[in-house]
Amino acid sequence: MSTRELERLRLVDDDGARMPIGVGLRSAHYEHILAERPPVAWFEVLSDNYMHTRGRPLMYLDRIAEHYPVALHGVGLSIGSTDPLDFGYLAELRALRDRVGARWVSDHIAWTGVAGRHGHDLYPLPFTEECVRHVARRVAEVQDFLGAPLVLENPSTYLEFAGCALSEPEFVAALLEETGAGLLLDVNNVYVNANNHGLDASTYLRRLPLERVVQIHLAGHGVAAAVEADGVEAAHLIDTHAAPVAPAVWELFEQAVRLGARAPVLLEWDADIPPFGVVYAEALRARVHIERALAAEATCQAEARAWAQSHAPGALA
Amino acid sequence: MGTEPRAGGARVRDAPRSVGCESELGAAQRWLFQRVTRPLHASRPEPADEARWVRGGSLASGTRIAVYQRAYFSRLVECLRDDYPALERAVGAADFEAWCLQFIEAHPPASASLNFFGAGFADFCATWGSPHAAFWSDLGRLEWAVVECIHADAARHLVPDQLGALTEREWSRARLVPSPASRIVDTRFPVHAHHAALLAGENPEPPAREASTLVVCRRGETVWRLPVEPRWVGLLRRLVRSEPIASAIAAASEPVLQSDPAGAGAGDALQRVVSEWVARGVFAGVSVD
Repeated sequence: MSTRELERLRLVDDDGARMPIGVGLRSAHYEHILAERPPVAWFEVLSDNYMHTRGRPLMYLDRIAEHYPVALHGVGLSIGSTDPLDFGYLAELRALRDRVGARWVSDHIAWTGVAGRHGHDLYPLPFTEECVRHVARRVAEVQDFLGAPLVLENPSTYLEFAGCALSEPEFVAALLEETGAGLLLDVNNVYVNANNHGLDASTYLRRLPLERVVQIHLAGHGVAAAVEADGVEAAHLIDTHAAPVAPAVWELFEQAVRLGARAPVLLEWDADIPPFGVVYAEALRARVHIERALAAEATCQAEARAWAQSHAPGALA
Repeated sequence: MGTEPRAGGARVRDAPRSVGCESELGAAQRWLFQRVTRPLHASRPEPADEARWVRGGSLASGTRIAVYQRAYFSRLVECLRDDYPALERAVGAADFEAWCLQFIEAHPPASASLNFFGAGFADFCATWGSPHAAFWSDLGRLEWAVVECIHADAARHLVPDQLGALTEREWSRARLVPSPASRIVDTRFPVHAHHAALLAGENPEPPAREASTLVVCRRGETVWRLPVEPRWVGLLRRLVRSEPIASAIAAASEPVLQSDPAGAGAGDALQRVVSEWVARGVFAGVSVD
């Protein structure tokens, strides 16, 4: 899939920055959204919550999709599993996409079950060339079935398999290159994984193919502590989606924008969900960071131009 | 990155399959999944086994796996909590969670969707070693009927004008079509008032055993729980079975009139109860043979 094809997936906001700010649709907010019609640019819909149902969740979704652009985001595709692809699941996913006119369909670079069992969680993959090929074959099948590029998210992880030949960003980049899929850049996940696996978050970010970003996720995380066998307490981060975005994640987000990530931005809040106004206000904070990042980029470019002009032939004459 | 479309999918499909890799990947996935879904109270396996598969670093492998293990169980417990809020309040949070964990071990999720994961939980309640187990099971069955109605199609519902428009000839052959989003729940205990009280934050003592029937149905966003008087249970069943309306009413009226030979108010009462069922969405429409 070319970047031009990915381009067609993108939403464009009023200021042309291609970074409209959306909110993850949650059932706790249905009534508020329908009654107040907040000026949210778009909603991301958790596709699995609207599959295997013919009832009330779809009723609300239909009404909301009449008024807002939506994109689908799933957790159940299990694209990395060694189990056969579930074409029943895919058929339902495609029907849901067509029903609500979703702009794109995303899921995670992960697996959720094996041997016919389901864990309902996002489990990590070994970062090897062979695994890239395994997942890429499945992505290709899914893209053929959906008739559209898939958008894949870098997931949060708490363990890495031994014997990985690639780093996580190298694995993600190779997979996207192999399949032409889009990237859902979850900035919080980059930060969480960098902390949990002793990586440098900025370096991780720079190694991702940011020109393939179709959507950006922001979310809050929590800190957990574990006492190890040697009595030492070790902290790790959990991708809880239950708190405001951490300052360090905002900084990383700014860096992503400066590095060229231009895509719709979305705030996820999945546990201890506050009133809609609080969630939306947190999402809108992204605007400040986008403007700051773009201003910094403009300053850099102006300085570079000035430097080039001052060093151009004849400039000293 | 070029701007010309490229057949990324085709290139990938042509790549040789690495069966050995998938077999190794499958083994790794099965190993991790088995570890993640291990009961929380089970003893930990040898750390050497973990180190073979998982890179440790600043956290021990076992600690890393435990993050997923806790998430597996807590997500499923949360799912059951969402489906059975009154039951959790009746049982108490700690006992409820303990029973959830036993249920999860006995009935791990069998579907990619969690919408119906809790389907067998009410029956599972009946096996709990408590004098209140049968009551809790009834309470659970009522809550599960609510879940089923939430997820069932309620796009169509009968409107009274459809009945009013039937001719006399049609009336004798007309049948009601039950809504997919309606359920009749027969219980051994009168759970309706108790359920409402629990949801309102009260915690009354379980009631004495007394068979009762409710109809649970959804119209629009609202799920209704309607207790059914014993004298109308037969009528409701006949109508939901789509027996002809006229004969269902005749059959149901007979015992009512026998107990009230003057028939004082029986006709009005019947009209009221059927009107309520129609208004709340028990029926999706009417068909004429």
